[in-house]
Amino acid sequence: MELVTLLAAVFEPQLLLTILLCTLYGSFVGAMPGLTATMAVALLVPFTYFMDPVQAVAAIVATTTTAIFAGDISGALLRMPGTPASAAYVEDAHALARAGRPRTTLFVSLFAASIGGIIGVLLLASATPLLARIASRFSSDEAFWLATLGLSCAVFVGGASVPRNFASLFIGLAIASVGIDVAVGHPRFTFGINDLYDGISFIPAMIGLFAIAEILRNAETSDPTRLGQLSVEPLRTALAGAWGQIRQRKLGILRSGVGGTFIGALPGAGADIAAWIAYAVSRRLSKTPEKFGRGHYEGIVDGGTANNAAVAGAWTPALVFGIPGDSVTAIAIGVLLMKGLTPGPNIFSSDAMLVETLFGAFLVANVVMIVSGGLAIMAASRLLRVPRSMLMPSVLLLSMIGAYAIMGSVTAVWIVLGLGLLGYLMTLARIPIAPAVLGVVLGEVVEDNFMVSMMKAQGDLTGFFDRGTAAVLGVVTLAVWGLLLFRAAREVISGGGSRSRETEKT
Amino acid sequence: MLKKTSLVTATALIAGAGAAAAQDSCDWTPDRAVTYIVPWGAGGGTDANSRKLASMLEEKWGQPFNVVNRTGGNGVTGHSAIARADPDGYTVGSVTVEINTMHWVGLTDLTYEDVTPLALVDIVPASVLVADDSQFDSLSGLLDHARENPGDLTASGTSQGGIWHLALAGMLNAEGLEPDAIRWIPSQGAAPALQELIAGGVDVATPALSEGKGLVEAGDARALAYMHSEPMEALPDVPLTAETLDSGWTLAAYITTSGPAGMPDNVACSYAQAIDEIIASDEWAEFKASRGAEVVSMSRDELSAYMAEKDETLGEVIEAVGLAQ
Amino acid sequence: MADTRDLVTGSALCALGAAMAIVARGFPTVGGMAYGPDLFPTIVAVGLVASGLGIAAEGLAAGRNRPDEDGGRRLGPLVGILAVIAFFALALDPLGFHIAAAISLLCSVRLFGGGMVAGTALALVGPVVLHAVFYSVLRVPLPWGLLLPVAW
Repeated sequence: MELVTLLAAVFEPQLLLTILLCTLYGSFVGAMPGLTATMAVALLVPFTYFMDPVQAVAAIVATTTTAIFAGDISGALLRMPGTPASAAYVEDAHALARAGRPRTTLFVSLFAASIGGIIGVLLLASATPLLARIASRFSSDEAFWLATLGLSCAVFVGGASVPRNFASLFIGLAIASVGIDVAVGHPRFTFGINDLYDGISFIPAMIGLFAIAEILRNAETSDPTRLGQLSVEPLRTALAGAWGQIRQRKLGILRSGVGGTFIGALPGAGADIAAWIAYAVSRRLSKTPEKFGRGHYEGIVDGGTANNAAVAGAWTPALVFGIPGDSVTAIAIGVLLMKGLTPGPNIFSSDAMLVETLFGAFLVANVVMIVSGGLAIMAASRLLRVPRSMLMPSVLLLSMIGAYAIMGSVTAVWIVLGLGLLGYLMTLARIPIAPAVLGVVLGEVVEDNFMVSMMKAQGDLTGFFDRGTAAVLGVVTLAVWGLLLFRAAREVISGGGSRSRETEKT
Repeated sequence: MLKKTSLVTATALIAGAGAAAAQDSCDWTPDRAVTYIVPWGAGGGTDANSRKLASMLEEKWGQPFNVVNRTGGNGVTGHSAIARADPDGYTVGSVTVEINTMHWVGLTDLTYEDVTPLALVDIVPASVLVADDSQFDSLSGLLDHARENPGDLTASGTSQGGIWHLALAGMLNAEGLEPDAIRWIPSQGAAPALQELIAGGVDVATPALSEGKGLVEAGDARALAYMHSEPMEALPDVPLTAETLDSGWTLAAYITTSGPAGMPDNVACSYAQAIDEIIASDEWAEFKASRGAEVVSMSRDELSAYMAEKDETLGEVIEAVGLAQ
Repeated sequence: MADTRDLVTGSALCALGAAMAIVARGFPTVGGMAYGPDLFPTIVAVGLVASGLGIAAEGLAAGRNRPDEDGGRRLGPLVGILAVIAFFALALDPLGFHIAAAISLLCSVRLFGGGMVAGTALALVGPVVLHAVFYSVLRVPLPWGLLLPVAW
């Protein structure tokens, strides 16, 4: 009986239409380098004023989940991840696209995204209160260890030798140290520019390091295969190939889906971090780790599953405590409050129907996404027919406007210029770019939580191990980093770095 | 001075004001898109109020009001962007209480004299929250413990020298304690501070009560006090500091809509009039009620005087707690 | 012999790290705390120097210049694109979005080897499309600049 009412509520035509429109909107915004899921949702808010609560939340959910997927489109086709969540596996996706399988790659990530989202919703619906309880025990100590552990992923995703991965990571951390510091509010490396007080946010950083660097490489190279003449496989081959990849990797999908949901539920972590960790874990556990970073579906499947699962996970603290897991859910909480609904444990009893409809809408959005995402893939692969001399200038302008839109200031264009040059020089120096983006994303989290913990414990380092969970996380983190440093030292001393790279090339 | 307007009286007031204003040629309207700058991040209280107001202005005037979040520098970036824009009415923004604190702590030279206040949007009093398993069940108990064990307790809510830090340090100072008797742990906004509170990382949080309302209603946090002189409809049982403390300490942040200094009077009064009508509407009242906040309004002159007075009193607090530069 | 490019990379990273560490020493600390705004940049600086030394060591171990994966390099267009970005940053506010975008598009089409006709076409269509998407739909306030009198 109740199920019938629920189904009727979920499959209401107006709700379905809203979801369809929002998935189309989400795939458009997500595919644009520089436009994020957060921005897409912020722009949606005025429209939600005219919607009922379920419709409003469904609109936000549908937009976010497709925007996170659509970031893969420009990542695969242009090597310019549309959202930070796609940055972890952009090298693989682009390599595959260049090898003549752009549609297969994108359908793999579309299917992975949809399945990840569905796993996330199912977990969200069944385990939300429990997940939220665990996440609520996280103070700055635990957050610091977790982020530091996250930094070690840099070494797994980069695909180059250890010193080069570290160089990239520290370049990213150096970029992250720009701006007002959390402890005393001193502006660091800002050169008196007001716009830099908030630091270099990862959107302009990513546009510069990936998109502009790629344009610069295109400008200086005479190699015509870079873009424009990619071959596109027939749709049926692509769909069949993609489905085959997904069926082969059930275990990885399950692992990344569950892991991604959990990471998304942690405060301060989000879809991007979920994707990085899933990718790193995937590589660690893979039978063929050497293929990662060179065009391998495994990492795309796992990363693509995890980032969409995290989108669902982020709703956990939002619904249960009214504490947003990320900026998207922060906006969503505001919308719920506006509709007279206070997120908290009570919402599960007082507005049970609403919460269940929300989960239902979440599910539907992830299914509808396959249609809209498919359309977006079809439209986007047309991009490859456009001559390079037209496409590159368009992407250049889009990148500059995208960065400007985020900061609302010309400083963004200068940041993009500087970091684009940096990214280009890094490629020349054979330093991978992905770890630097991880550094930019996590640098502030690591430092803020470290300083907060130090101030709480008044400079006593043992404070980091005082709490049970923190102690466990701390020991694990220190062990992982110890091993990494040991490996790096050995590699450098024995000159193994160069040897391993020679073998990797064959 | 601060008026809590009931809907009926407000409507009557507006009707009167409208008749008076007709003579003052407050008939400016934008004929292209307006940029509305918010110095704080998407998802926060200032952002929600600003976006709602912008969408209602847009509806009223039939021109897009584009909301831009210019965050950074604890408010410096966004406030500078508002103050430095052309005063032609095509750039306005949400100037918040930080315009009265930033220059005292040496972040910027910007003061309230660099903007043209147009309307009061929100008054946001601070609260004193503890986790539900805290040993303290009253503000006096908390203050007594801090008096006997200075430096033992920690509190959080915003950055070092931010408005909620002043709320705590100012209260301790007014009650005769050292301003750092409860140590301040800086955070990037209220959400991470509340996370620390329920995770047991800090003992006290002093954000806006509206920001902690969800946790209080869920039973995960307790509100020991509300730094205001009038009770809040959403949580009527929370004690008021104006009544429970000997010093009668209160502290409220505020949100205004303001333009750059030197805005032509007809533009400014057109904005004031339009926003007054919005604030008197049922839609605005519903929006406010949903956030557990009161509808507030002030005339432009009252608002200017209010900001000037706040500048002085907050300056004294900042001096007293040793944060002045 | 060694791979000179790795040696240059390594030295550049060491120099960057050293510069960061020197600037960070000037940051203030509060109330005798042993840790302050300089702590994190100092750690990063040490990391930069260490990885710079590591890369230089790799270059020494390699014993020769390793060949590039890509083909030849053309510096002209590269510098040209950098100049286009700088121009856009300088011209966006005074000239306005539409004019700055049109000029940037035309120049970069030429830099990528496109014809005058194609460049002009893109310069005319591009800003209008971007205006529709960013200004009208996404509500990004793009500056009008010189076109302010005809703003819509």
